Amino acid sequence: MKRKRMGSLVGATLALSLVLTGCQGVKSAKLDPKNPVTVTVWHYYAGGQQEAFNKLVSEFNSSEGLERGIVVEAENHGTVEQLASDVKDSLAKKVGAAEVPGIICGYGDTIYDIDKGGNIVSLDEYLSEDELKEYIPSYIEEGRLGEGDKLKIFPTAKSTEIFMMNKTDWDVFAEATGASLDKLETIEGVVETAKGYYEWTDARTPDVPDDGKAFFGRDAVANYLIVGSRQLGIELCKVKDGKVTFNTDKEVLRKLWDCYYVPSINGYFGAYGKFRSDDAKVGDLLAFVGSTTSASYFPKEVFNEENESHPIEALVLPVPVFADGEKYAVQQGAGMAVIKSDAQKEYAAVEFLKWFTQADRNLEFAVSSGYLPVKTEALDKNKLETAIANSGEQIPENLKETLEIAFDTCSSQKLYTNRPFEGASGVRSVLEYNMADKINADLEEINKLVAGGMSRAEAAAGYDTDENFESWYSDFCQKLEDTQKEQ
Amino acid sequence: MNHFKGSLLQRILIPILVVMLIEGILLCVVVFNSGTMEGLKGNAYDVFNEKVSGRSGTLENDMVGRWSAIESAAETIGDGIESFIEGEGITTADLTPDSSYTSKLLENLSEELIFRMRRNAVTGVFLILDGDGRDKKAGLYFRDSDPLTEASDNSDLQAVRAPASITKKLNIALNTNWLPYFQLTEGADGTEYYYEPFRTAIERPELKGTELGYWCPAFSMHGDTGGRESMILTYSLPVYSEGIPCGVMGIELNMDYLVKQIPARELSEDNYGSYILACKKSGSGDGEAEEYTVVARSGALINQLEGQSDVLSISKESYRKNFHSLLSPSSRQGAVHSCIHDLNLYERNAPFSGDRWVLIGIEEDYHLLSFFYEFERAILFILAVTILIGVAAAIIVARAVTKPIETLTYKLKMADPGSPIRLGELKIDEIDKLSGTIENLSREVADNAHKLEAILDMTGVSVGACEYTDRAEKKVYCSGDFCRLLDIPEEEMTGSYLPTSVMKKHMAELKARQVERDREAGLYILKFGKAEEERWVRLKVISEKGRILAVATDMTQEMQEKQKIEHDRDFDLLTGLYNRRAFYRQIEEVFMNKKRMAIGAMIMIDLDNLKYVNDTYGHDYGDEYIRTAARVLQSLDTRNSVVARLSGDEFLAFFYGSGNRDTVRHRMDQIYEMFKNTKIHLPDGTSIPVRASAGMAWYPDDGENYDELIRYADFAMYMVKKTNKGAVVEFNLESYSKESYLLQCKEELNTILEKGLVDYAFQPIVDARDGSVYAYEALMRPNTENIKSPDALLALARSQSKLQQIEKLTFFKGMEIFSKKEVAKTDCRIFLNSISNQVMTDKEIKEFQMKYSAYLSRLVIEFTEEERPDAELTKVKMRYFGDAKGMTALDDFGEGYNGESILLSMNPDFVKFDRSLIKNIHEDSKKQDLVAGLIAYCRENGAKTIAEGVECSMEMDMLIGMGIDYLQGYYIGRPTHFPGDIPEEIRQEIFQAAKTEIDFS
Repeated sequence: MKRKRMGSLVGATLALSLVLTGCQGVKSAKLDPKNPVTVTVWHYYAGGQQEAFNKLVSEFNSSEGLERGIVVEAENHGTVEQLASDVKDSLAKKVGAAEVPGIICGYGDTIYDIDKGGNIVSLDEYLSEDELKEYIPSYIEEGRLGEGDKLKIFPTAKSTEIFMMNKTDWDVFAEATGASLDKLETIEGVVETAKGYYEWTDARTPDVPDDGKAFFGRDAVANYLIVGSRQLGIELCKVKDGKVTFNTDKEVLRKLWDCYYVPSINGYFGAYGKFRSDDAKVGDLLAFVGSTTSASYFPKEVFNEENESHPIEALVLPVPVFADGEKYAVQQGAGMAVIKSDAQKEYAAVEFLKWFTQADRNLEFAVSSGYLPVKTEALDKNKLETAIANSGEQIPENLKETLEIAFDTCSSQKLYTNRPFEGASGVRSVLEYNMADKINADLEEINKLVAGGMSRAEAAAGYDTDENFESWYSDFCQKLEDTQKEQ
Repeated sequence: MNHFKGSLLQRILIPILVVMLIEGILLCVVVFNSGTMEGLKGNAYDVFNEKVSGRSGTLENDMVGRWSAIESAAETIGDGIESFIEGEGITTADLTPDSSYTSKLLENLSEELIFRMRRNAVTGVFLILDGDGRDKKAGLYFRDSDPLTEASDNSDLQAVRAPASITKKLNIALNTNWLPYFQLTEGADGTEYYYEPFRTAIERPELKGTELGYWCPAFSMHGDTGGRESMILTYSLPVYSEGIPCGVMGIELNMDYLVKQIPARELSEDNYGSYILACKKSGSGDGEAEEYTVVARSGALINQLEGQSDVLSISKESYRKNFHSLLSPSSRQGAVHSCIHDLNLYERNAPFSGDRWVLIGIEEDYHLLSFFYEFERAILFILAVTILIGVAAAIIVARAVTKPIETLTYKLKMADPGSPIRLGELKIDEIDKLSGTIENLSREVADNAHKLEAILDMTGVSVGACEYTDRAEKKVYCSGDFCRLLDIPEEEMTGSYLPTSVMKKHMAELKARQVERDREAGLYILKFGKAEEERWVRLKVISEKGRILAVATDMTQEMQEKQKIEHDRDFDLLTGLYNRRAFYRQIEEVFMNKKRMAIGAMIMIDLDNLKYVNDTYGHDYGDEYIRTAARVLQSLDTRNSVVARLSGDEFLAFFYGSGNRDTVRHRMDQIYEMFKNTKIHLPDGTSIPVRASAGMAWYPDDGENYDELIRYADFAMYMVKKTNKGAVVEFNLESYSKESYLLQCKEELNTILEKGLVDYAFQPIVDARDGSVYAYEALMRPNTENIKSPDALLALARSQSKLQQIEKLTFFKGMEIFSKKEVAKTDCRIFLNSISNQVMTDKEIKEFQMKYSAYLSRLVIEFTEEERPDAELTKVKMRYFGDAKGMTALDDFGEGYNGESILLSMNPDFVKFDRSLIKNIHEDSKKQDLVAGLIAYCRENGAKTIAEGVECSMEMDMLIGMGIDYLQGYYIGRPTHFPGDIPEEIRQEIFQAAKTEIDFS
C-alpha cells in the first residue's frame, strides 16, 4: 500500500515539476531529505584517484547530499572495459548482474557503445545554457554523441599527456654527455637524446657490449599515432556522423614509424613492465610520455635489480611534438554519463555531477588525482595554488608540476581527440597494439640475433627497412579497415 | 455565521459528535489494544532481524569458508619453502630481500599465491618471509581489484610488494606504492597483520593451523610507504618450514569488495538502512555502551548520520533480541535501531577469539517501522475523516433544518408590520404550520392596527410614530401621520419605512423648527408654516437600549388656545395694552439686560378728568376717554418701550435705550402734543382733549431697579396731582425724602390702628405705707419702623385727626392685654391714660363695657396733660365705667395743663405728681415745700397722692416722710410686660421708712 502511494506521490510530484520546469527548459525533480535517493557511481579509479574520489563522495553525502536527499555510493569496477561490460550485463539484466548504476565513468567510445540502446540521459535537459558555458567547450563537444549531438558525457575529469623524467639520473647523463633539455621539446630531439643515452649507458660497461639502456617509453602508442598524425597534418580517424574514415597517409605513417618503431628496435625506447611508470621505478627508463594521471605513479625512488634504491627528483615537461608539426596535444580522460532511470534519480545524479565539477572541488580532485579540471574558471594556476594549499594533504611535487605543465599545455597547444564512432574500441586496439606487437615480435628476433653474436645495431638495421615498413603499413591499414567490417 | 450559533445546530451537532467520539474511541480501543499494532511492530523487527541474520550467515561463510581458506595453501607454500632451502642448501634466515635465492623462491611461489587469490575470490594475497628477522622482509603482495573477473594475462593485477623482476616476468603493473620488499617495524601501525600471527605462532608453538589465523580489522598499508593507500581487511596465517614459523601468508579484502558483500539494499526496499561490518577489540568498551570499530559499511544511512562514523557506540542493553540502540553517531530523524549479529570467525579458544566481529544492520525507527506508522496514521486518518464527515453531515442536516427557519425569519424581518404577512410554503410541515400561525397572527395584528388607526382618525387627533432599532439599522419604521406631521415627503418612504440616512437629514432640519424643548423629558415643540398657517407639533422621543421611539402629535389647536389665554392674561381688555402683570414681566425682561437700556425713564401717567367724564357722561364715555388715551400711548414707537394700563386711569410707561434724557423728554412732549390734539366727542356736542399728569423717574440716576423707579415715578406723579395737574414732572429726591417720612408714618399709623399693633407695659404703683402693689399703670409701647414712642404716635394721630381712634385703641387694647396677665386676677387697680378731648363712640363704649365688665370697678382713667380737658367730654368718659364706680386720676400734676384749676374742676380720686416735682426732692427744699403743700391740699380734697418718677431711695424716703400715699418710678419698679410684686428689699425699705415715719410722727 505504502509503495503505491509513494509511487503515485512521486509520480505526481514529478509530473508537476516537469510541467513547472518545462517552460524553463531545464528539468528538475523534487527531492526529499527524509527519503533520500541513492545514486550509484561505477568507476575504475584506483589508488590515489579512488581515495580522492571516495573522499569527495563522503563529503557530498554528509553535506549537500544530506541536505537535499541524495546518497552517492561509489563502486570500483576494475578497468574501463570491465566497467563497460558490467554495465552492459546490468542493462541486459543478465543473471547475477548488479543493479543498473546511476552514473558510469567511461570514454567516449564506451559510452557511445552503451548509449546504442538509448540508455544514456541527454544532459542538455538538465543543464541550462549558462551552466554549460562554464565548462571548457572542447570537453562539452567531446561529450556530444551520435544523432543530434546530444550531450551524453558529463566532463568530470580530463587529462592530457606530459613528459616525465627522472631528473636525478638525467643530470648525471647530461653532465657526462652535454645532453640538453631543449632537445626534449621535439620528438626528433627525444629520439636523438635516447640514442645518446643508449650509447652512453652502453659505454659505461665496456666489457659488456650492447647493454645500453632505453631512455624513453610511451604509455599510449595509440595517442602517439592519433596526435602525431594530427601534428603532421592528417586526421587519422576522421569521424562524420558516427562513421569513421581512415587517412592512412603513408608519408605521415612513415614518419611516425621512424620516430617510434625504429628507436624501439634499437633499444633507445623501451616498454618492459605494465606501465612506463613501472619501468621508471625500476630504472629501466629515464623518461616517458604518459597521462597526467600517471604522475602520481612516478616514483620517488628508483630500485635496481639488487633492490638498491636511490631517491630521485622528477622533471615534468610538455609533451614533445614533431619539429615541423602543428602543436597538438591529446585530450583524453573519462567523463561520466547518467543512465536513464526515473526523473528523480536522473536529477539527483546530475546534481551530484554538478557539485562534483564545481571549480574548487574539481581542482581539489585534480590535485589529488592528476586530472585536469573541466571548467574554464578552474583552469587557473592561482586557483591551483590555492587548491594545493587548501588540500591539507601533502601533494607530491611532481603532481603539482605536472598540473602546471598540463595547464600550460591546455593553453598553448590545441587539444585533440577524435569523436567517438562505431567500432572505436576496435580501432583503438589496433592503434595501441599493432605497432607495439610488431616491435615486440621484431625485438624478439633481434634479441635472438644479438644473442647469436650479432651487434644490436646490425641486427636492428635488418628491420629498419622500407620493406618492413611496407609490410607493416599494409597490415596496419588492413587491420583498421577490418574493424569496420566487423560492424 | 449567526445561524451556527443557534441551539438547533447544537442540538443536532452535539449528539452526533458524541456518537462519533464514542465510535472513534471504540475503534482506537479495538485496534490499539488488540495487539495488532504490537504485532505489526514485532513483525517489522523480525523481518529486519531475519535479513541481518541471513546476511551475517553468508558473510561468516564467506569469511571463514571461502576467503580465509588458505590453510592448505600455507602448507603448500611451507612445503615449497622447505624443499627450496633444502635444495639450495640454505636456511630460512637467508631468505632476505636482497638475496637472489629469495627472488627465485618467490617467483616459484607467485603462481600458487595468484591462484589462491583467484580461487578464494579475494582482492589481494600476500606472503611475507621473516628472513633474518629484520624489518626489511622479502615477500609478495598482489592485488586484484575485481576478483569476480579474471584476466588470463594478469593484466587485472597489481603488485604492491614484489621484486621488479617478478612483476616484469608476470606482466603485473606496479601499484603506486609498490616496493620490492616489505618494511615492517614491529609495533608500527598497520603491521599487526604480520606480527600478530607470527609472534603468536612462536609464543604458542602448540597451536596449529587455523587456530593462529588472524583477522586484522580495517587498516591501511601506508604505514610502510608513506603513500596513500585504501583501507583493507586481512586474514593472515603463519607459514611453517620444518615446523618453525618462517613467514606469514594471507589474503586481503578491500573495502569496495567488502561493501559489495553486505548489500544494504536488501535491508529495505527503499535502500535506507545500512550494514556495518565492525570489530570490537578484546578488552575494549565499558559502561553501558559498547564501541565497535567500523570495518566496512554499506547503505545510505550510515553516511547520513551525524558524528564520528568510524566508531559506533551501541547500548549494551537490548530491547529486543539482537536489537540495541545506536547511541552515536545519531540521526536527525530520531532513533536508530541496530541489529547486531556475531560473526564466529575464530574457534572458541583461539588466541584472537577475544576480538568480537559483528555484522550490524542499522535502520532509522521511522523507516524500520514505516508500515507500523503508516498503519497508525491510516487509522488516525480514517478516524479524523470519519469525524469530519460526521461533523459535515451534521452541519448539512442542521443547515437543512435551520435554513428554512432562517428564510422564514428573513421574510418576517422584511415584512411590513402594517399589513398582513405572506410567508409562503417551505414544504416542511412543522414550519409551514408555524408560518401559518404567524400569518394569522399578523393578520389579526394588522386588523387591530387598522382599527386603532381608524379610531385615531375618528378622534381627529393627528398622531404619528417612528421607531428606530439597532437591528434594522438601515431604515426606520414610520407610522400614521408621522411623516406628514414633520413635513417629510411621502415619496421618500418605502412602505412604512424610511431610510435611516434620510431620517437623519430630516431630523437635523427639525432643529430649526424647535420652539421649546425639554431634553431630559425628550420633549420638543416644533413649529411649522408661517403666519395664518402656523401649526405646532409635539415630538416626544424615548430612547431605550437599542431602540428609539418618537411620537409626533399635532398640537396646533392646543397652542392656539394657549396663545389666546396668554393674550387675555397679559393684555388689558379695554385698551389692548399690557396689564400690570404683563408689564412687570416685560419690565423684568428688559432689566435683565441693563446694558441695552442705557438711559431709561419710568413714567407714571394719570388721566386727569376721568372722574369728571365718568360722573358727567357715564362709564361708556369714561371708557372711551381711557381708550383714546391708550391709543395715543400705543402709537408710540413700541421699540424700546413698554406701556401698560395699571388700573382705572393709571398708565405706566418705560422708555429705554436712549442716549440722553432729552430724547425721552422730547418723546413725552410728543405724547402731550398728541393728547392735546386728541379729543373725544361728548354727547352734549362738546369735546375735550385728553389730559394727564405724569411723573418721571430716570434710570439709572434715580434708581436701578424698576420697583424703586415705579415708586419714584408714582411719587412724582402724586406731586403733580397735588400741585400742578396736567404737567409732567421729573422725580426729585429731595422733596421725596421730605414727604416720604410722612407718607411712611401715615401708613404705619393706619396699620397700627387697623391691626391694633401696640403693646402695653405695666408699671407698679405701690402703697407708701407698706410697699404693697396698689395698682399698675398701662403704658403704651408702639413699635413700628418710624413710630417708636407713645408721644410720636400721639403727635401723628393728632396730625391725622385720628386721636379718637387712639383713645379707643388704648382702652380696648390696654384692657385686653391687662386681662391676660396674672396680676389681673388680684384686686390691684389698672390705670389707663385717656386723651382728654377724645371719647369713644357710644357703640364703642358699650362694647367696652360688655367685654371688660369684670375689670371696670378697678379701672382708673388717667387724664393726660397734653390736651385741655373738656368738662363735657369728661362726663362722657365717666360713662366708660358703666354701672361700676370708676375712679379718675390726674396725670402729671404740676406740668402742662393739669394745674390746680383742673384739680378743682375735675375732682379726681388720684393726683399724680409730675416727675419734675419729684426729681431730687430730697435736696430741694422748695420742692419739698411745694409737694408738702400739695399733699396737704389733696388730702383736704379727698384725693390720694401718687409720686411719679421716684428714682432713688433718698427721694422715696423723703416722699414717705412727707406723707405721700403712693409711689411710682424706676426705683420702685420699671414698666414690664410681666407685672408682679416689687423687689422684696424695696418693699422692706418702704416698710421701714413708713414705720420710722409713724414713730416719728
